[in-house]
Order: sequence, then structure tokens, then C-alpha cells
Amino acid sequence: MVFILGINFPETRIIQKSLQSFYGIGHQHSSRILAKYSIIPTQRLGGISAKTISAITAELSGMTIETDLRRKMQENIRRLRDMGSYRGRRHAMGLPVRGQRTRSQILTSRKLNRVERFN
Amino acid sequence: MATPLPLNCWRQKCLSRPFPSTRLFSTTSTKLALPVATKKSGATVKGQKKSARIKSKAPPKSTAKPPMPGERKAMRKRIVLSNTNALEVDGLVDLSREMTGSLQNHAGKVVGLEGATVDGLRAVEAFKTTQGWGLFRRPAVLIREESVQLGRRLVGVEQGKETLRVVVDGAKGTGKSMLLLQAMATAFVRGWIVLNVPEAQEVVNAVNDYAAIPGTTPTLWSQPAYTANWLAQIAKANGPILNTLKVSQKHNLPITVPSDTTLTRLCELGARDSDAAWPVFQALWSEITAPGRPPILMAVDSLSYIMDLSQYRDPDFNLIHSHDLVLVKHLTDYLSGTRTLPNGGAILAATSRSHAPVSLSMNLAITQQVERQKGEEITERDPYERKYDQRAESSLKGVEVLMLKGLSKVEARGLMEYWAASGVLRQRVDERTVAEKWALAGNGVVGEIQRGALRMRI
Amino acid sequence: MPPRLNFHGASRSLAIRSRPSIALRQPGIAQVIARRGYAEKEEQQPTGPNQGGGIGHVSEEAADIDRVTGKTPPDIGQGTPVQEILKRDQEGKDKAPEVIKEDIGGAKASAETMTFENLLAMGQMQNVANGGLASDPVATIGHKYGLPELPLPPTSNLHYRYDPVITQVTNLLMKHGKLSAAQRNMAFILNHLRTAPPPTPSPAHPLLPGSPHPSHLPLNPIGYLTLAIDSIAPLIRIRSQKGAAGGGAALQIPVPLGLRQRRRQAVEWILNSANKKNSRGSGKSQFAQRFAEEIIGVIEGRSSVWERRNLIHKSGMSARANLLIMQRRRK
Repeated sequence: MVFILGINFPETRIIQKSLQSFYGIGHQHSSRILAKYSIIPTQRLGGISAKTISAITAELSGMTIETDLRRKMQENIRRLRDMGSYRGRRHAMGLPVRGQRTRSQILTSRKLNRVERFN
Repeated sequence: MATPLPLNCWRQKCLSRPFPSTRLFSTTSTKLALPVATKKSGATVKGQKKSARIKSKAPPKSTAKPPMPGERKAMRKRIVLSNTNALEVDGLVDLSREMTGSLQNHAGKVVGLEGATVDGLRAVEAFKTTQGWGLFRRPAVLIREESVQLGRRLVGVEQGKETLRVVVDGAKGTGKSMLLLQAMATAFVRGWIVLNVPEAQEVVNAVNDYAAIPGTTPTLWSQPAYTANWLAQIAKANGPILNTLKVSQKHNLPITVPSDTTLTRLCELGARDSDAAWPVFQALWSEITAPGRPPILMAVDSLSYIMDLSQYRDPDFNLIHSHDLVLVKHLTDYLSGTRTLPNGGAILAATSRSHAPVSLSMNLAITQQVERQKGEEITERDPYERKYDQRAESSLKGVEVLMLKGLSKVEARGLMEYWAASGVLRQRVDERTVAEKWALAGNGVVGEIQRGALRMRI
Repeated sequence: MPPRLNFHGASRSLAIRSRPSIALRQPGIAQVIARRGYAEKEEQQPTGPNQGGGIGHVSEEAADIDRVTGKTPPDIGQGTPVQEILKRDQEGKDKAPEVIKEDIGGAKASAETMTFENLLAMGQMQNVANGGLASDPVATIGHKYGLPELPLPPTSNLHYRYDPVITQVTNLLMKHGKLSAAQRNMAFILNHLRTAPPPTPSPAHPLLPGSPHPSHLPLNPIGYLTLAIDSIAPLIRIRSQKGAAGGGAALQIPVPLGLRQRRRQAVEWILNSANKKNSRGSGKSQFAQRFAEEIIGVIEGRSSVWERRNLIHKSGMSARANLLIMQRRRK
């Protein structure tokens, strides 16, 4: 088992996948982190030295990810809402924000768009 | 998930701001309204249409034991070198040291490979799965005109202690990898040391770990795991020769190497510790290039992979050029002629024309060299093309090009007679069948002849 | 009044029938082909009265006589040029025109100096002289590489270049119309049969009578495959005739199958059984490998396909009597 940022991953997991499991890290960021520490994209966690793992953890703790990123996003939405702007209103109503049509297919907005947005 | 919102939801939600600036005109209607009946899941109202129930039948579970990790890959990569059903060919002579000097006596004939050579070739992964070794009693190769040429050159550089630099090119299926194999077989029977990169793709496509070598500008990159594996391969393939050679120089190595160690042992030590692999390789190289040591043959297949950017990334997220990988640099230094082999030897590179990236610089260099060899007017590089690679171009400057074409009819006949003698080709081999197969195979492209005659796919 | 004599009418009824210069196409007598054959069916080519052994035509006869008596025989391949005749005939040579005299001394007249039309006409005349028709094909002139030997071998056509069994099985292996993939599988199957150890047939499931020794099979993969398929190919199928047994019950009637039908059924069974097996590795050739293993299993008597075949034959035997019922009905 390998700990990255307090999360436990099995050793057979590919490191890029485990990095991408953090909220706020996608393909781009994970690739750049790997390049920074000269790790190949198909590397598994078991094959990385503990030193590199702790360096990656330190790198991640300096980034705005997970709860920080969620809070930042929620603050942004609340600001829009508090201003009474159209975008804030659409968020509150759970409707598309960027001018999409609403006759059908707005499942994603219904799911995600709310003031206390979680992801 | 998304339950349908009540109709008046938008009123309640959007217009009521967190601070009480606006109010609804009346609250009576909402208060008096009946509570919204929540639907019980699974309960069906009488008369209501049931939706079509699709039976999801679980697929039958296989009770067989799944293959072990790596077993499937091993099966795919397995190389079978013998078919006990095939007939033993009478009068098949083996490739020997004496023969390599005068291959022209065997031109157009098939010669066998003896056990020790086959072991060496297998260890350096010279055999490929697509070459149809599994159809015959034992491995044998056709001596064609180009093999004679190359064999003569190899013997020549051994005597003159020169470095032969050749790129083998030709259309798909013309026998480029097979010619490399023949050169390696020649080297084995003549007691050379053979280093082979069976597939250049594996060096550059970022599947092996890499690390920057400290203190190099521009930064060079080593590939510890690949190098360790390569050392093991070298030790296994060249065991008979390296066993007789001992470490003679002082080396600054991260591992302790007792003096009076054989070079095989040195390789094995390097193979065991991947972090020390590259320094050990350098030590090995300085040992085998010391005076009085045997000649060296280096071979690379699928050249175009190492003539471009690799898939590795540096810390700034830029792609690393293949020539900055120290293992590739080692090969290209000799290919370009910046370094030479003091005891003589050769570096051979074969292109791949079936599934390899297009390297414009490599193609241009090959075209120009062929024209130079023929004394024709030399093609200029396209001034509007941006994708040339300066480093690839300079590494291929002055390399000899051996262009493979189809077999001659005599050679095709020799090959087909061998097939018939092995019992694999069930056809009378005469002028007519040879001409037919030869013509159908694009004027004797050997892979196509094999496809048409042996694999029965025309 | 007596009827007027009509000469025109009389002449009309008289027909002068000369030999037609163009042969009428005569429908060949339909060859009686057995409905059911075996693997080593070797069809005999029908031979006409003029084919095969017998006395040759006039020129051939002359050539034979000349050969026996020790004279120079006439060249049968082409029409004999005048110069050739004059060579043998001293008197004719003396009396020949000046042009021909010069010609004999110098270049010999050959087929190359003559135009194509001349050669064709001469060939046609030769045909007539030989007792044939002018429209018969003229042999060996005007063709750089000669004419192909007739009848053409069955594999000479682009679409029939493989063995018929191979073609049929390949088509049965094909999924979603992907012929190339099926051919790749077929090539793998044949190679697998070549390289696998020779089979040991079981006495419980005898192969076709006259099959080669099992140790000879791997080097003849097509024969191997054909033997396996033909050995398990059922002779009959069971047709259920609804209501024929009376009271709406179905009557089982055995129906004989043709060669291709039998092979198709056999391959279907092998495919079914191969599809149920588990793959041992990964990659494109895994299905082909399972199929090839099944073929070997058939030869060695391990395959479950044998049971299916026996079942069909057994029920066919028991339903034999129903054929009589059907015949009686028809009367």
C-alpha cells in the first residue's frame, strides 16, 4: 500500500490513475507531475521509490485540489448568486448557465448546478 | 438523482433571494395544496402499463483458470524454431567460419544455422515471430546476393579493423530483418561480440523507466531497466567469448567489482542492479574496445523510431529527443561515424516499412545516399518542409545504404526447393512454378513469396 | 381443273444441305453425377469418341508412316510450307518458280514471315483437311506464349484458386463479411495442423476408409482438414414433416445430403464446439487455434462432434420406415 496525500493506494495501481483520482487533477496536471519526476506514464506505484512518493505528496499539498478547490468553486457560485446575477440564478434553479436550450437534455445541469455544488 | 421538480419550484427558488427583498403575493395555495404523492418504487397501479421487462441473463461464467500474469504475452511472443513434422533436408550445410569468407559459393542456396549460433541469435532476440521459423525442422537462411556482399564486407572490416556503417532498406517483406540476422549469425560464427536492439521502438516509446544522468549538458538520459536487461542479453548471447575475457582496467563503478572478473560476470552484476547498469555498460564497452579484443557487431531494427523525438518527457514537459537517450546516442555515435571501433566491427541498422513512423530526414538521407552510390543527381531537401530533423540527418551522413529488392529467380528457386525438400511446399518446383510465385510476389519480394507459397494467402 | 404444277414449291421442299461452316453448339450429355461423394472423389473427365486412343487424322497417320519407313515426316504442328515439300521433292524443286527457288537457297520461309491472317487461314484449311471444321480453334499460331492447355485447371480462375474445401471452410469461418480475417484464421489453422504432433486416431471412431497414415497428415494440412471434415460429415439430415404421422404429429424423414451440404454441417458442428472452448492466450489467432485443436480432436476421436453424427445416423436408421409411408402417400 502506498500513501499519497493521506490516501491509500494498492501497489499495482498505475500512478497516473491514482493521481487523477484526486479532485482537480486530470490528464494534463498528472502528466506534468510525472514528467517533473521523470516517471513513465505506465509506471505502477510499487515501482516508485519512497522519496519520489513523498516529493509528489509535497507537490500535491501545495496545489489547490480536493476540498480547497471545491470550496473555491462554491464561493464563486455563491458570489454569483449573491450578486443576483443571471448565472447565479441559473445555478440556483439547476438549469443550464451558458445559454443552452432547455427543451430537453439538461440532466447534467439538473445534477450539478446548485449553489452548494459538490463537484 | 434528478427527481422532477414541482411545477412551482422556480418561483420558490429563483425569486426568493437569501435576503427578504421580495415576497410571494400569497402563500395560501401552496399551503392548501395536497402533499405530492411520492411514488413507491415497485408498486404498480392497476391498469397502468408495465414497461417491457428485459431479462438480463448473466453471461455464463467460465470455470477455467485464467492465465497467469504475463502468460498471454509470453504466448504471443513465443518463438518456435523447430517443427518435428517437417522433413530433415539432406545435404544442408551449416554456416561456418570458413564459409563466411566465401559465401558466393553458396549464393542462391539455403544454409543451416548450427546450435551455438541459434542459441546466440535467440538470446539477442534476432528471431521474430513473423518470420515463419516454426515451419521447418531447424533454422536455415537463404544466402542471397546481398548476403554475399555484406558477408564479404564484414570479413573485410575484421581484417582491416575498420568500422562498417550500413543502413539496410527496402520495401516491406524484402528481408531486411533477415539480413540483420544473417549478419549476426556471421558475427557469431566468426567470434565477434554481438549487441542487438531487436526493436528500436521499445527504447523510445516510454515503457521503460528513465533517469537524468547528473552532470551532463545538455542533459542525457539513461534507461536503467532496459540497460540492465540488455546487459543480461549481452552476457547470455556472447557468453563463450566474454567468459574468456577478464576485466583489465580500473573502473569507477557504484558496485564493487573484484579484479580478475570475467566480462560475463561483469555484465551479470550490472544486470542485477539496474541503477548501476549504465556505468557497468560503459565499463564493459571500454573493456571490449580495448586493444586485442574481438570485433563488435551492433544491430538495430526499425531505425526510424530513433530518428525523431522520443515519447519521454523532461521536467519541463518537453519531449526528449531520441539522441539524448544515452543508449540511443551510443548507437548513433557509431552510426554517424563520430566514434569508431578500434578492433573493427560494424553497426547495421534496418528500417521498418510496415508499421513505423515516417522519418523524413532518414528517408531523405537514404535517398541521397542511394543516388550517391549510383552516381545520379542528388535530391535536395524540400525547402518548404518543416519536419526534417537536423540531428537525425547528421547522424546518417555518410552511412552506406544497402537497398534490398526482390530475390532473383535463381534465389527464389533455391528457397522454394528448400521448402519442397522440407515437405512444407507441396508442389513441383520447376521453372513455371518459380516464375509464377516470383511474379505474383512483386518480382520476388521474399515475404510475399512465402505468403503465396507457404501460407497460402495470395 | 387439274392442279397446276408448281415447280417453285417443289424446289422449295428440296434443300441443299451442305456442311455448316460453323459448328452448331450441341448440348453435351448431362453427366450423371452421384449425389453423394467421398473425399477422394476423382471425377473422370468425359471423353468423346475422338478423344483418347484411336487412329489420328490423315497428317498424323502420314507422319507415323514416314517415321516408321525412315523418311522425314511432315511437320504436324503447322501447315507444311511449300518449301518443305520441295526439299523432299527433287523434280518439283527443279520446276518451281524462280521466287521459290531463291527462297530455298536463302532464308527459310517460316511462320514469322507470314501475316497473322495468312497463318489463321492456313490453320483453318488445315483443320478442314484434317476432317474438322473451319471454325475449329487454330492451334499455336499468333500467340507469344502459346495457348493454355484445355481444359483449364479448376484453380486457374481468380475466384477458385484455393482448394474447394478451403474455400468453403473459410467462408464458414467468416464473420460480418470479413473475408480477409477469415483467411488469416484459415492460414493459422493450416499452419497449426502442420506443426502439431501427428494425431493418433482412436479405433472407436474410425476415419474415412483409405485415409493416409496419420504420420503423413501434418505435411498435408489441406488433406488433414478435409479428412477431419469428411469423416464426421453426416450422410443425412432429418426432416420433420408436419402432420404426416397423423393427428398433427410430425413425421421424421431422413433426407440424403449432397457433398457440400455434408461438409457444411460438419464445419458448423466443429465451429460450435470450438466456440465453447476457452482460449489459452490472447491475440488474434486464438479462435483459429481453438478451431485447429478441434480438428485434431476430431481425428483423434476426442471431439464431441462424433456423438452428434452418430445420433443423426441412428435416428435416420430408425426413421427409415417413414420413407415408405411417404412413398405410399404419394401414390
